[in-house]
Amino acid sequence: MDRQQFIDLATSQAWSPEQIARAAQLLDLRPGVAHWWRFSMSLLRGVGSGSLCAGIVCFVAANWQDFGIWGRFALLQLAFVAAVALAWWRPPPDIFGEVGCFLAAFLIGCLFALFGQHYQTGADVHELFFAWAFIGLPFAVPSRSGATAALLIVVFNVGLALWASVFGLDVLIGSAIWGFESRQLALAVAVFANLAVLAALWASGLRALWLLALPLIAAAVYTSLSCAMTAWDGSVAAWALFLSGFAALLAIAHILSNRLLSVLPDTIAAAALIVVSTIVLVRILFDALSDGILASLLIAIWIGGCAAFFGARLLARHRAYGAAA
Amino acid sequence: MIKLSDSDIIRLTSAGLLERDLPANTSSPWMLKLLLGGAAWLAAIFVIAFIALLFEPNTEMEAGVLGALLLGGAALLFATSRALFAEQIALAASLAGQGFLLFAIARGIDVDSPRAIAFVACAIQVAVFVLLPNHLSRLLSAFFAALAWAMAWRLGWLDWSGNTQSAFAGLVDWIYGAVPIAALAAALVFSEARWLTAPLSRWFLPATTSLIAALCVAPIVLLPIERSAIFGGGGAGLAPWPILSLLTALGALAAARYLGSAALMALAIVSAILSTVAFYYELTMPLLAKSLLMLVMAALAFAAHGYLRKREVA
Repeated sequence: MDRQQFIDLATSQAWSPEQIARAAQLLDLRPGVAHWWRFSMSLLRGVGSGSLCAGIVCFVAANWQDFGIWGRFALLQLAFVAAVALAWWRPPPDIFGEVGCFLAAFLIGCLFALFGQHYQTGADVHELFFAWAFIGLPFAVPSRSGATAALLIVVFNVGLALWASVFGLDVLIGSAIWGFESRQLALAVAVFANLAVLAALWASGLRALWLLALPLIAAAVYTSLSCAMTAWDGSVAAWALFLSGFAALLAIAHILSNRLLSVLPDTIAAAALIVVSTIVLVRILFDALSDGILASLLIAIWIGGCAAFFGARLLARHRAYGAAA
Repeated sequence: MIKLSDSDIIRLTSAGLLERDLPANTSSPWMLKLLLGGAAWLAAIFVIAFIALLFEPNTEMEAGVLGALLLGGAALLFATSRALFAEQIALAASLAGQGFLLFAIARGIDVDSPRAIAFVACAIQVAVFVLLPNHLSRLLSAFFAALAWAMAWRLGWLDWSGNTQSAFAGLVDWIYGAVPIAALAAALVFSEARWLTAPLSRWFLPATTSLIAALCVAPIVLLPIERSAIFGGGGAGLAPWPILSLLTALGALAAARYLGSAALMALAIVSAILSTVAFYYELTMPLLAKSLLMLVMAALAFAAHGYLRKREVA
């Protein structure tokens, strides 16, 4: 039961404040002592892991000369071995095993950073992020930990964004390095790569909604960027690339919504659809109409209409899912 | 009708709490509110463009009248129609109206300080929160009122040379910016049972959610990035500030947990991660000192975790 339902229930039964507090306890809506205990433990674990990672990153960045190159590598590698040993000693789903796997996956990135700090490999930055994501996989898959998988999804997407030169506005105007069509292709690859990650998560049994939402959101962002490029200077091939990625996103989001009985994937798809259709409309209407007055009004009405349409549809679906569950 | 499990019905009935029919299900998930709110913002940009191109308001009076008319129209639509499309148009009109009104007031009272403009924005948001009869509109206006409040205090010591105000003065402004939001959110959360079924819940309910969300975002807004070495600032001793943001985010996380809101918990976790990233980029504190601080924090957290685990087993 969510908060609004509880409020509706409380209002319909005309509960007093004392009755509200009692009902919230009975329905397990307010955490009791045992809940707070577990929450505190999770929080401390999270803060501990996060602080440890941040401490290691700061240490690597400090590039402390007293240790020498070998000392610094040895220190990080010792930490890595300790994390792996922890995961080996108390394998997941034990919480120590999960923390060990997360730290090991994180330390791989630190080792890459340290290596890059000392040796000129000539590798592009995105290659390092891709390598980090792939080498970290053996720790994400057996740990079944959402945090480790989320870390690698973020790392992979930073790599994709660097590769497709998404950082900075140059994605909208093309660049000398990437041809326009090549950039389109890169964005389409980024969309499909995220959808593949999503399928891999599903296949490996990591089916937490928030985790599946991460690659879906990334795919929606890449789709919108792809649309912005295509709408202004798109060839037939560019449109085909954009539309195939977009169609795949919509289809997978819809399947996911039905499987998980949640409207979150469809909401992400709806948001992408509103953005994409608005971009296309801006392109068409501001070209076709002599002044921007009517175009602005039509686009505002279009966005309002789309949001209302999807809002109503998704709300009905949400209630149907609730009844089915 | 809302759905209760058999065990919930038995528990509530045996406690004498279920004496009437179950109500209709009116809940709307957070992601839909986010979609509708985001779409309204997008639409508002085009409403502003439409109004600006059509009427070409050149004076503050013209902008003020247009803003007031848009807000009045939005209030009328909210009050008279339950249709989602009308609600969306009203929301976009309201956001556009707030933009025009802010422009008019800021120009009209000849405000040239960004801090004063932020206070005016906060006042407009509070007025919209009180007057416009719509849940989503109240969610948005409470959130932006809190952010404008934090920004007003933040702008009080915004100085890109980074040297004119002491870190202490900055800290006092930070407290003025963040603590009232936290205190208000805490008061609403802990008194929830008292107002949940009262008419005031129409305001208090969106305010609770929005203030917790603002508590996740405001500390990031309040970070004195212009004082860091990246921007040539000389404000030494400011590095622990992101730690304050981190603690605020953890407070928001606890409040979100209390309310059982997964979306707010996720926002608080993202805020905590961003605070840690900000800590890394605050370059006025030596990296080794930061590393040591973080490692001590990690050791303390793991030690506390170990203690709780031991007690749990016992």
